[in-house]
Amino acid sequence: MGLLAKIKKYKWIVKVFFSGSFKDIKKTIQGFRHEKDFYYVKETHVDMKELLKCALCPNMCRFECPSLRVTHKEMYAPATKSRISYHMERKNLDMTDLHTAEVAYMCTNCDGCRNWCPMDISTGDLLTQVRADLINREIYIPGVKEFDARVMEKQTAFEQDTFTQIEDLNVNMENPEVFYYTGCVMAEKKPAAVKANIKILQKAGIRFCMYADERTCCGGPLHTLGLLNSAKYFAEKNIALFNKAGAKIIVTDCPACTNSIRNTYKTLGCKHNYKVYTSVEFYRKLLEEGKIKPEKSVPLSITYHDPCISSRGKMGTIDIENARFIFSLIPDLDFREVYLHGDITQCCGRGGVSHVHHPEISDAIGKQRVAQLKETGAEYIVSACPACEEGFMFNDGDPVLDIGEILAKSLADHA
Amino acid sequence: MKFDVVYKKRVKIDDLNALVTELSEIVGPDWVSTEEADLVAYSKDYQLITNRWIMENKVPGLPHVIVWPENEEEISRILICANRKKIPVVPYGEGSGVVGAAIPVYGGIMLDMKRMTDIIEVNKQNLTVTVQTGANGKWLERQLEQKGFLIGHVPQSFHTSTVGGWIAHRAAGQFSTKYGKIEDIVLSMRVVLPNGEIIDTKLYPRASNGPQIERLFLSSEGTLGIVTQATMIMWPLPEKQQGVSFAFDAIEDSLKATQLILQKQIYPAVVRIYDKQETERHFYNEPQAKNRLMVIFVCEAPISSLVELEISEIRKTCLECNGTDCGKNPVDHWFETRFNVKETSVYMPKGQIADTIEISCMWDDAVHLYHSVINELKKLDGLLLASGHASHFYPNGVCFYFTFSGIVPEGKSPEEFYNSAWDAAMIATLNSGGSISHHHGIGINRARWMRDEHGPVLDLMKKIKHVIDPNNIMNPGKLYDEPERE
Ligand SMILES: Cc1cc2nc3c(=O)[nH]c(=O)nc-3n(C[C@H](O)[C@H](O)[C@H](O)COP(=O)(O)OP(=O)(O)OC[C@H]3O[C@@H](n4cnc5c(N)ncnc54)[C@H](O)[C@@H]3O)c2cc1C
Ligand code: SF4
Ligand code: SF4
Repeated sequence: MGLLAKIKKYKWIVKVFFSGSFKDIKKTIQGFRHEKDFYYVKETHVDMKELLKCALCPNMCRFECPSLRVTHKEMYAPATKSRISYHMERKNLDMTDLHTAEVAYMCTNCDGCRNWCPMDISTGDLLTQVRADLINREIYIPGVKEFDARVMEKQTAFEQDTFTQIEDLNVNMENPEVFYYTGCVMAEKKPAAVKANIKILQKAGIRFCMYADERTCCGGPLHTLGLLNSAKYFAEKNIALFNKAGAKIIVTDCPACTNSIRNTYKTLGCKHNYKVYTSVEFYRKLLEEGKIKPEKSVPLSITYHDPCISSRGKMGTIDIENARFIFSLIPDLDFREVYLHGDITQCCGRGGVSHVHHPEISDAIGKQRVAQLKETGAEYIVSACPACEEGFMFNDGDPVLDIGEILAKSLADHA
Repeated sequence: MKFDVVYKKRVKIDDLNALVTELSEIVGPDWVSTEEADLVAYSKDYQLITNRWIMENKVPGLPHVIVWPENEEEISRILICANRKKIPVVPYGEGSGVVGAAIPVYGGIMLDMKRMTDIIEVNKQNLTVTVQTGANGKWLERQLEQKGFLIGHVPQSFHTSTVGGWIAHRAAGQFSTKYGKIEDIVLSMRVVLPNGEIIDTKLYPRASNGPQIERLFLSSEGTLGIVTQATMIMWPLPEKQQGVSFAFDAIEDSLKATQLILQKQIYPAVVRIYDKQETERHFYNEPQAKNRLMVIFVCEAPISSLVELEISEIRKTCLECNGTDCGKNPVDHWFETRFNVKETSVYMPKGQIADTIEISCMWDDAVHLYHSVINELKKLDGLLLASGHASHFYPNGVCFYFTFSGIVPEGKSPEEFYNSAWDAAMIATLNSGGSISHHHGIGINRARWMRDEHGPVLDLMKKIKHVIDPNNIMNPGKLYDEPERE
């Protein structure tokens, strides 16, 4: 909003302010000056001003909160989570009590709240900051410490050989322009999608590399859990790998990796100048540039699950239209839109690394989404996030495909 | 616990462990809690002064135990247990009530309805939906919209309130002038009485079969029993929706125009009259509304020509009453911003004490009442803002919705300042022939005005309460009596 528009919008406040007596004006100014007293705490990662705002809100986004929907408990409504966190930070509630601390993790970081928030607040982001405070004080809810140790040991969220278990899935061309960065969930759970993505890049004539034998976790899940030191370790490690590889563009098949590399690394003090694309963004570009052409008939009926991270602006870009654009070009594809889609997509349950610390909640959310997707009657659930896809496969959503697999099916086999 | 509890009359429960064990046997151990953080989560509703208390490390009330039942049978057993032990029970929906009605002022059992959200039946022939009362408004809308229907009840708290809360507070939505208030929408209900009995009121479009018992539970604020299921009217989604707006110089003209429109039997879904202060606040982008009052109308119906006819009659009437046609932009602006609730989050930390007060009156008292409430509020030391709008209309009268905000003056506590604003508005309303609440309800906040509102009729209400709930376990300290506070 420009300055003039702002003046116009807030003129009434100025008028109200000056309508008071001298005494009232003085007190009002004092009120503004003392605001900080209501939220100040020493040494915190939390934006306490925003946390208090959220704590004072009547939960205007609660209907969209998946963790509330499956737990049914007021403690886990967005503003209530902020209120409990505010009291923890202000030392009114005991942070070391794990039941209290757990509130900060009862969130899948889906940003459904922000989508409806009149103040553009994400309770999920605030809770991520609260988690960092918990970890700083060495307060771990069950599952978190173990996950940290495992990722540090294996260097991925799964096994040491997650990226190398299938030999073919490691293409490294000379002078690469693109670093194809596979998410660890994709590599572990959906190698067929990695294969499809390789095919698409090859068809488009892209020079790319993968460095599968040097790949690690992007650090995103650790950051989400509040494990900032571990996250930073991986940020540095990945940037070193990108520097070594020399490609200027990074294409990921996981929007959470995109978000980590594009945005989170900077917040951890790890700067870089790489341009990061999701596969969906990059494929749209390739299609528009005519580098790939969907020619083959794909007579499947599909529905599409918008990953929350791609559809609510978290990455800094939005993939809603890109996915539909890709589907619209594929011959004979029967695309069936699910009722809640786009920015009002529903959580898959895997966000917030919830399946690690609260698997039942994560699965309950996943099952609700699968039921909605199946109501379309489509044969296949398609998405563009390996975590969502894994969640659906785990929660009776099969057959599940990645958008790359659908696109690859439509590309002719000849070169 | 590092909190001060504001309402000091927390009952003493001799054997809390025994109570918890008994409740756990009824609902299962996962659905009972005495954890500190959970008790704090359920310590308040959205009465605005409680936000100040958050920042002062206070909790309004503190329950002893939270319980999340799954069905009527469990609720029945919980109430039987509470009755035997004479322990207060407070039903809880989504805590968006603004009068303190869900605050556990005497502690006891907080009974959250959020596990009961099923849609039991959608009857397309009767145009009814039967739903459990823990269902959230927006969630219900989504379920019905997919099937091509709406319920037409859209309070501003739609995203954060339940069917049970609407019934308990006799709520009114933004589209109420066409679709009716909750009492016009609910046809029948299932209630668990304090003695554990489960009753279903009969479903009919209308009947002459004795006093309508279900009416008793509308506005009963959880004091007579727990409503667990309701059958409500639904409508097919409208074919056409159209908005129009007018600016007026005087509130008298805007009220006159609206009165004439309603009395011509035109029922716009939305009618909103904003006074000059609120017009400046919300419609700063509308040049014709400068220093004037904005009025917006939205009409919708399954038949397009009906909407066109209504809009043309509205236009004719408004122009005859000195209104200036401002087109559709202000209506679009209202649609875009109608759920933007952020003032309290932004201004309460800056020391402002604020609230909203809605009342109703007959048409012949309307102009006088509006001016009287605004004037009385403005007289208060420390008060910076007093404004109003009208948003629910009847052929016979209107609801005004006032907002006040100010800074606590020297020598007063925030609560004293807050109460003085409420007192000023309530006295002005009663003196002008108005009723003390149109749709937010009584709760704790307005209980002290119930005698003036009802006179001896309040005694009859108390007798009815006593017959249904002789041990006064259901939400004590609300409606009929005022709880003590420090
Ligand atoms: C921003 C905002 C805007 C609002 N706008 C409107 C509006 O436009 N129109 C309007 O009418 N109100 C409005 N309200 C007030 C409030 O939302 C309503 O009163 C709503 O009906 C409360 O529903 P709830 O589920 O949150 O109830 P709660 O606050 O949880 O409870 C309210 C009362 O109902 C009782 N109760 C809850 N469930 C049951 C049940 N199943 N059986 C028996 N008793 C029960 C509780 O004990 C309590 O006494 C608004 C509030 C806010 C914060
Ligand atoms: S995220 Fe925004 S809308 Fe949701 S509870 Fe917080 S402040 Fe309210
Ligand atoms: S990010 Fe998602 S899960 Fe977390 S509070 Fe917001 S809506 Fe709820």
